[in-house]
Amino acid sequence: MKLTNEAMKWGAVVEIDKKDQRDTAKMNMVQIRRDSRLDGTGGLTDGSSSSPLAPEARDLIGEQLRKHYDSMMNAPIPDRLKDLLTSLAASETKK
Amino acid sequence: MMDAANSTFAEELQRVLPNLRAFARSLCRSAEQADDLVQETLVKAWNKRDCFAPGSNLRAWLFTILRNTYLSERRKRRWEVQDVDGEAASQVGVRGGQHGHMDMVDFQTAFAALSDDQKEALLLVGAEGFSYEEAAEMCGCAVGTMKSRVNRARGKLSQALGLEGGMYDIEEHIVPVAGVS
Repeated sequence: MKLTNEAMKWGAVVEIDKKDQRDTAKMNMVQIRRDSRLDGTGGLTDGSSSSPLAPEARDLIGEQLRKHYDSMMNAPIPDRLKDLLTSLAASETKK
Repeated sequence: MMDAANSTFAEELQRVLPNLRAFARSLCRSAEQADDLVQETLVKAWNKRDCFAPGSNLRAWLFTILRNTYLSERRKRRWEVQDVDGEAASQVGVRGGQHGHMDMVDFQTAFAALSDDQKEALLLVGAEGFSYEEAAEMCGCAVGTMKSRVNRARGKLSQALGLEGGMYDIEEHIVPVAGVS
């Protein structure tokens, strides 16, 4: 009976340890996922500006991005937007 | 506000207009929606021009208004953000030869697949030249978050374009811990 009580006590301790381990692991997972959502890196980086990309890859992406953006910048401005600015300025002048 | 000041403000808006259109066009992926967005941004900026402190960064102020308007409209109208008909890609004026055109179409496709957060981060920092601090303030996030978004956007583009060194994506590699439900 004494042995059984001892075994039960140890069993309870082991169960508590397992629960602690589960809780700790669960908290770590939650933290990883939380970091992942916050910084978009999966918590693997400290958010510094260093990139794992090769400089050539970064340069190529930058070049393509600027081409893409320049094309948008150089697109003709629609008349309705030009007219809007003109009318906004004119309406204020009339007041 | 005095007439001269209004005139100057209107000129400043005119000067930043191409930037606003490019940013809106990259977010909306539809010329019509982008111009609606720019129009609303201009009207809001004009109505709130007294809130703008002369000498401060007008471009950043306008971009913030445009971004907030975009998010608000998207929530309300559930704007389509995909380039379904390929309109955006087809309207991009590409200089260079056929190889250059293929590169641009590939880039457009890869860029369209980025999340809104990543697109705006890359555009603000990589294309518009805002500092990480300015971009973070405009997007209401931490500087580290902005840096991470830019890096992650570059990593995704790199992977999509078949360049070396795509970033490690933890979401695809998280292995549930044994015993954790």
